[in-house]
Amino acid sequence: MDIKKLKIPLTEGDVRSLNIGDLVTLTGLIFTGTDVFHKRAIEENILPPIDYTKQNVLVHAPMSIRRGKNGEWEPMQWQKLSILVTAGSRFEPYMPHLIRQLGLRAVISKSSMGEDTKKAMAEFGCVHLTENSKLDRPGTGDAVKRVVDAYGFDEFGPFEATWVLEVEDYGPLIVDIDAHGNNLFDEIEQAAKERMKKIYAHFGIPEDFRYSAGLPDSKDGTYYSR
Amino acid sequence: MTELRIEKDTLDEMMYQVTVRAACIIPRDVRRAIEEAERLEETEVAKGPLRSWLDDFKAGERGNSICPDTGYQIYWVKLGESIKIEGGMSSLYDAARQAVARATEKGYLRPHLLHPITRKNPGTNLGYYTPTLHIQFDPAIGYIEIISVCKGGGGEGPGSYQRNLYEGDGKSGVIKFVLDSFLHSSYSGKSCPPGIVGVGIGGTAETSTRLALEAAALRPVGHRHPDPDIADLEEDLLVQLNTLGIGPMGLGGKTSVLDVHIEYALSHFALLSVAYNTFCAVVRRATVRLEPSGRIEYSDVANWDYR
Repeated sequence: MDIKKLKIPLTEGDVRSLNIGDLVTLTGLIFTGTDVFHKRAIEENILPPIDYTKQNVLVHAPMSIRRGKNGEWEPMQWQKLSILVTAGSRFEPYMPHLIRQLGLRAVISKSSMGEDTKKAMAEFGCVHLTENSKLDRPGTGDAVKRVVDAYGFDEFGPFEATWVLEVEDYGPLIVDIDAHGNNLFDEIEQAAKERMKKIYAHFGIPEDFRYSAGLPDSKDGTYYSR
Repeated sequence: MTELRIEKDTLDEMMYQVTVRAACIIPRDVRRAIEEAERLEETEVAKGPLRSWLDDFKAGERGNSICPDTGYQIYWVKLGESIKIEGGMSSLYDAARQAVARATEKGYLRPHLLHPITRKNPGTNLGYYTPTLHIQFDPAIGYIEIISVCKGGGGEGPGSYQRNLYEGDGKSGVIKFVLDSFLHSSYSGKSCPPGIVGVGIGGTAETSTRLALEAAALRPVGHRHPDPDIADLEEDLLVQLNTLGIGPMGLGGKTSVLDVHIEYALSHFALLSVAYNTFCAVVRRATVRLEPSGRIEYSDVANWDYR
């Protein structure tokens, strides 16, 4: 499969041309944000002083970076700087607003985002990307070229700080939510749910199986809803 | 049995080495299973995560933690009655704490364990009940064995559940709980599939939860429960879950789980406790054993069977 090489800042045209399942790499400046970034941005209206028109790609990643003896940034955990994305679904309540407020064109995390983010992405023109392979891992990656800025390092530590990083050919990343209202993982899940009906039958679990009385949230016959 | 005396320094070093090995060296059974999955998958997208893990395993041999998320450190210690540790048995707790602190300082473990309410991070991965130790005395053995596990956040957070069902929910209730847990946890690769699914059945909530964890973390891929009914159920669930098409990191494919391991304890006649635990694809366990001869041996096989 072709891998599209994209440059940051991403344009609306860049992201509207992408479909779920497409593979991309990114070159340019990205910024990171985890729990503290989202809570402060939405609940306290405090944002790191970044030019979001030029840096419109947010990565949900706690960074293992520390300050070296001479004040320079150095890897804390491996022999080089590496990005490990964290689960983005926990930032779902903040994401739709942030996409519009900051003008984000791509959000990168592990796993995926929810329905509200998908709607905001289709409206504004933004995509969600997730890991595929040869990412910036301890073993393989050399995408991070340098640390450009760090915000909140002294106050919140490396995992909650917002890092601005220069990356080159970061990826391949896979488009799992496109700007047309599609979610790759929902399609995979729908197929799995269809298949699951056959698996219930294989194990002799009745279609109308319900757990015993007295258990919470079992109305649909499972314990789970998203 | 002849008394085996262990000096504190020896114990500390064993505990530290086994902690580092758990973080950096992939067990052979898991590596084989990931290699096999990489051959089986047909698309580049499905092969992608498997290949990057195989690269990470090589980086692990060069002293990098094989997954950046080094998770929680959990130890299982098994020892004979003839073992005498310098400073007494409580030295085991000290040894575990110094091992975690040292491995964190050296960069083998990510310093990410923090106060659950204030979110204050001590930076050492040490605190109340942390790390966790399970100790088992076995009068039949003359050695001490320490198993170290790094339990990553992916398999633990979105991949671990426990419920006390009622006896009327029966086998169907248990199997449905396992199937639904898998589908829920593997959506969008949250639990980092394909991993090892551990299931604990029976006992109290605490027992089933611990059995599920031990089934996922300690039993090698391909090993079956000695009870043939349970072994058959393990095989059956393994085959069926792999028809779901979830694939590596939930991106679609043929490999959704590496194995299914079930452990059970007796159940209260009215109740039916069941727990589900995922070990993410990057299973991390290492073992060290000190033999009565004084020989120290490191391996990736955990010998924790006490049914």
